[in-house]
Amino acid sequence: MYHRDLIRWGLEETARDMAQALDGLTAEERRHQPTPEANHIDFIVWHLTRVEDMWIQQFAQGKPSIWEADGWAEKAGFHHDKLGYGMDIGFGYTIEQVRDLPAYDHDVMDQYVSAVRQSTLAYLDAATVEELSAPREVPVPQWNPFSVGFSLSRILVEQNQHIGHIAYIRGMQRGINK
Amino acid sequence: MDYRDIVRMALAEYSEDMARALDGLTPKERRFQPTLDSNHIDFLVWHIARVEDGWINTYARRTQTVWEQGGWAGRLGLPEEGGGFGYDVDQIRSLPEYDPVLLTEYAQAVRETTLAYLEQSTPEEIGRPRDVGWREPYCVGSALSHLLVEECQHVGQIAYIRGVLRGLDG
Repeated sequence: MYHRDLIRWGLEETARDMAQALDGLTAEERRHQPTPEANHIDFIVWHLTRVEDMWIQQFAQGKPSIWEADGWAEKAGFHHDKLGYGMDIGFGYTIEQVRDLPAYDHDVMDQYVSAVRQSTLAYLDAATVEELSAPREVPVPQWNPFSVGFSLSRILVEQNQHIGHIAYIRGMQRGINK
Repeated sequence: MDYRDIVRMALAEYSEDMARALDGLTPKERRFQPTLDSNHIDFLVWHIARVEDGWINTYARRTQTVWEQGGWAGRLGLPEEGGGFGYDVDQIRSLPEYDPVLLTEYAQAVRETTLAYLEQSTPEEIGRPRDVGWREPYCVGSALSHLLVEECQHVGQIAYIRGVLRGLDG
């Protein structure tokens, strides 16, 4: 069962690094786009959490996302039409959609981030190796067949690339290690 | 499925992402720094490979790095010691220019040692606490999870710089 420790450690470090990269940023710094086509930090934080929510709730457990089930869109001040694969998670967004993302409440978003992570860790504790390895079908053809184990490794890979973006944007605004 | 599969899948995925983020970039683009304090892609690519070499060969296998063993510093014209950790802005800016194809060969040589190590490792061995010297008690397993976390963040930085230069999906 060693895979659990490995993923848990990875997720813990990921969360620490994200908190550090976000620490003390102003609302303006979180919306900064170094070019009109570059993602801003508010978009990235929301997107990477929605993606984790999708993999763990919808794809791994066949449940609605926490975002939808607990009304986080309203709590955070989002009023988007659904697009893409029936889930509005920032995937495939145009530069206008990125730019026009609602300015949301950061404390509310932090609560949503924590709620998703708690659910991920609870799922990880309960899932058997067989369950993690079983081939699954999801509504995104290019990801099939996938396994929950793959989606866990993918969460680490994708989230950390996004956290790298956040840290880089921070560095562009504040300088090295600031 | 065990920890080996998770690590292998993650390594394969971020390496693919990295190859895509580097594809077709010019030497000038690879040295671009959006601000004076920002890392450039050449620095990141070298650092990523040196970090993997360090964790796998120095720390996990307790042997010479591929860097030392293969004389890569001389072949690439890069520093013998260190892999960019703690570099200041002047060191980043003045990193010698190197041949990206040769660097890719080095990175592949490192990856072979990583996959070979992973293959023969056991859960007992990688779970055993071991002193790293500079951080909390650690085991090879947590070094592996750290490797994935750190390298993916750097790959993200490469992709972000590419986006700053070329625009969305450019």
